[in-house]
Amino acid sequence: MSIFLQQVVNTLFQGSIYALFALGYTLVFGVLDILNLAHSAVFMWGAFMALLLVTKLGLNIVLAFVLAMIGSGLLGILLDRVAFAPLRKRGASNLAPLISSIAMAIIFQSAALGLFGGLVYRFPPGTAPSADIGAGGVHVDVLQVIIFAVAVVLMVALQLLLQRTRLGKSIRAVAENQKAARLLGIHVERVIAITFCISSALGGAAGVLVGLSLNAIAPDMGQAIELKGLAVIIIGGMGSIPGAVIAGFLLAATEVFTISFISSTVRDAIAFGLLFLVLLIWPSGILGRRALREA
Amino acid sequence: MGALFSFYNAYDQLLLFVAINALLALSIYATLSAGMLSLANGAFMGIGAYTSALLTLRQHWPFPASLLAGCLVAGAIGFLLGLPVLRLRGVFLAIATLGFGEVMRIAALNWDVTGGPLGLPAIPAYTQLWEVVLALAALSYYFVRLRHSRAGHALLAIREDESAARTMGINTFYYKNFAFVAGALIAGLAGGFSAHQTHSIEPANFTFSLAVTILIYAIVGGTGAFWGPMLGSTLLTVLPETLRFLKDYRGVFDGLVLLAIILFLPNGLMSLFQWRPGRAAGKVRSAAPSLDAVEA
Amino acid sequence: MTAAQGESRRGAFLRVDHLSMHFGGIRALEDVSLEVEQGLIFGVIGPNGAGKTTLINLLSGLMRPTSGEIWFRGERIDRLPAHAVAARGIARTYQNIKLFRTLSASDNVVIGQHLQAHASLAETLALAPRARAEERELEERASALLAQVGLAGKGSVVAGALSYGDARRLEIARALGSQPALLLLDEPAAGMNQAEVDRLGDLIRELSAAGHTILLIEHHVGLVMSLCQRIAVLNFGVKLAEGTPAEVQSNPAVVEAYLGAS
Repeated sequence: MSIFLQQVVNTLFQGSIYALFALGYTLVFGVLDILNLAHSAVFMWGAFMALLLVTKLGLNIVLAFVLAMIGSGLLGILLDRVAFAPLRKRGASNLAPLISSIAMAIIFQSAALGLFGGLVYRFPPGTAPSADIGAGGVHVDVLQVIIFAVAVVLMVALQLLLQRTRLGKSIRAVAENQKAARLLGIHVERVIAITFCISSALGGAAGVLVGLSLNAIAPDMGQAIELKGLAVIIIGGMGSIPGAVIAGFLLAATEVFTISFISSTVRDAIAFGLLFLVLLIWPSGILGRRALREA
Repeated sequence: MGALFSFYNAYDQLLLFVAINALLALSIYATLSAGMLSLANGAFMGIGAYTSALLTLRQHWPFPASLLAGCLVAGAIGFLLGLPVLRLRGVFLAIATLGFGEVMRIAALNWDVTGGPLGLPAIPAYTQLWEVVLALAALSYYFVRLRHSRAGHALLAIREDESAARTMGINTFYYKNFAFVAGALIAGLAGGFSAHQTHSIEPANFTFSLAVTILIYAIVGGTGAFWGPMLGSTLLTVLPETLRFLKDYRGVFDGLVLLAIILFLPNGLMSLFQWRPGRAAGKVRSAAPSLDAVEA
Repeated sequence: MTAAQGESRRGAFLRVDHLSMHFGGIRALEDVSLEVEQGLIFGVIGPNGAGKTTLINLLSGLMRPTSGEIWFRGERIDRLPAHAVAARGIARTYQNIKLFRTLSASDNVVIGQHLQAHASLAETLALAPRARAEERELEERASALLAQVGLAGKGSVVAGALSYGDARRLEIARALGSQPALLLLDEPAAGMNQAEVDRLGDLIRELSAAGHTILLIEHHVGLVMSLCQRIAVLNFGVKLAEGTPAEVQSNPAVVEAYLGAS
C-alpha cells in the first residue's frame, strides 16, 4: 500500500512539472498555430536566472523565482519580436516560425554554453527547504510539496486569467480568429506578445522548479523535458489548456506505474509510446483540435 | 595532378563527411519536396548504420551486401512507419517522426544486440570516397529524372496543394509513402557509409539534434531543387572548420545564420542563383517551389 | 428501393440521392436529390452558405456525406476517395483557385493530365523512348488546352503571376487535362467583368459541344440563366426548386428566397 501511495506522490509531483512546462507550448500553439521549439531554452534560462540571482546577488529563492519568471517573460517577448513577428508580417507558412524557433533555441542554448560552460551548477545549500515530511513508509520531501503547490497555483492562475479577465478573452478571441479579433478592436500584435510573455514565464518557472528539485542546472537541461513536453501536448490535444494538464499527469502516472514493471532506462520511451498510441487512434488528442489532414 | 592527390590525402576524412552529409541532405529533400516535414531521418540513418555494422561485424558479410541490407531495412521500417503516420498534418507529422526517432534511440540504448550505451566499436573502415560520390551521382540523376516523371509531378502537386492533387486523380497516400520510403532508404545508405567510416557508432550519434541538423541543411541551402540541401550540407560541414576560433559560442553563430536565412532568404542560399519571379526560365520550367509551400 | 428506382440510378449519368451533410451542429446539406443528364450544362445557384461548395466537395470525393448516395454512370461513388472519383471521369475547379502557384501554367496542365500519363518511373529513369515521347505529348496537349481556354502563349508564365481571370481559365484547362466526362465548375465567374464572363460563357458552350457534361455552380445568375438547360436552386442546404431556367425564374419560392432579394 505504501508503495502505491509513494507512486501517487511521485505522479503528482512529476505530473505538475510536465503540465506546467507543456502549458507554455500549448498556449502558443492554441493562439498562433505554431510550435515554439525555443520554449525549452527559455526553461533553461529561467533556471539560470534564478541561480544567478541567488548566488551573485544573494537574493532569497522566492524573490529570485519571481524575478526569473519576469525575466523569462521578457525573453518570450524578445522571441516574438525577433523571430515570429517579422514572419507574420510576411504571411509565411507555419514551417518558417518553427525553423525560426529552432534558430532562437540554438542561439539561447549556445549563449548559455559559452557563458557557463558544460558544467552542472547547483544552488547553494539551504536555498530551499528540504525535509522528509512523509509517513508510513512514504517519502515526501517538503520541497516536492512546495513545487507541486507552486505549479498548481500557476496553472490555476492561468486558467483564471483566460476565463475571467478581459485580457484572457482577448487571447481567446485571437486564438479563434485573428481577423475577427482585429475587427473587434483587439490589438492583436500586443495580445500575441503577451501570450509569448506568459508562455515563457511559465516555462521559466518550470525551469526554476526543476532546477531546485534536481539541484542540477546546466545548458542542456531543457532537452530531456522538451520532448516529453511535446508528447504531453499531443496527448492532451494541441491548444488545449486543460488537455495539457490532464496529459501531464497522465504521462507521469504512466511512467511512474510502469517503471515498476520495466527498467527505468526505458522510461523515456513511454512518453513516445503513448504519443504514438494517441496519434494513431485519436489524433486530436484527449481534448484537442484536428490533427488529420482534411478528408 | 599531384596537388590534387595531396589535397585529397590531407582532407579525405573531411570530404567523406561532406559527401555523407550530402546524402543526408538528399534524404530530407526526398520528403520535403513532397511537402512533408519528417524528422525521422536521423533514426533511419541510425537503423542503416546499426544494421550494416552488425552484419559486417557479427556475420562477416562483405561491405556492399551489408550496406545494401542496412539501406533496405531502413526503407522497410520507413514503409511501416509511414502507414499510420503519413495521415498526420504538418507539425503533427514532425512530432510523430521525432518521437519515432527517440524510441529507436532508446531501444538501441537498452538492447544488448546493439551494444547498449557504448554501441558498436571497431567497425572496419570500408567506406571509400568514390563509393559515396557514386551514390550521390546516381541519386542526383534520379532526382533530375524524377522531376520529369509522372511520380515527380504527383509529388510536386502534393507539395503545392494536396486536395487539388487528389481531385486530379493523384493517389496522395501512395506517393507520400513512396517519397517517405525513398528518404528512409537514402538515410539508411548514409548510415551504412557513416558507420564504416567512423569506426564506431553509439545511440548518442543519432539523436533528435541530428534530425534538426539535417533539416537545417535543407533550410540553409534551399528546398527548391535537389541540390539546394546539398549546398547547405556542404557549407555547414566545411564552415565549422574555419570557425573554430569562436569555440563554445560557435552555436550562436549557427543560430544567427539560420535566423538570418529564415527571415531574409527563406528559400535558402540556392535562391541567390535562382530564376526571376514571374517569367519561368527555360522551356517549361517553373520558379522553385517555396519554403512556404511546405506545411508545418 | 424499388426495381424501377434501382434501374434509374444505374441508368442515370449523375444521380444525387437524398444527400445530407452535417458538420457538428451545422446542416450544410439536407436531403438534396437531383439528376444530371449526360451532355447537359446543369446549373446550381443559391445564396452564400446555401451548400453549393459542400455539394461539389461531396461530388468530387473530398468529403463523405453524412447520409445519402451519389451515383455516377451506374456506379456508387460517395464512399470513394477523391483520386478514385477523379479516375472515374470527374474533374473540378475551385472557387478559391487552387492552382500550383509556383509552377508554370503549362506545368499545371501537364500535372492535370496525371490520369492520362502511363510511362512508369523506371522507364523515365532509363530515358526510354516511350517515356520521352509521352513527356512531349503531355506538353503538347497542355499547350493545346491552354489555347482552348484562351491562354495561348502563356505556358511559361508562373501560375501565381497570372491575372485573376487567367487564373480561373487555367484552372479549367487543368481540369480538362484528365479528359473528364463530368466537369464541376465552382463559381468560375467570380470576380470577372462582363466581357470576361461572356468569354467564359462561350468557353463553357464550346466544352459542352465537345461532349463534356458540366455542373456549374455560380452566383452570377445571368450567366447561369443563359447557359444552363436545367438549374437547381439551393437555400440553407435544401433544394428549393429544379427545372428549366424559365421554370426556376417563375417559381415563387425561389423568387422570394433568392432572386427577389438581388
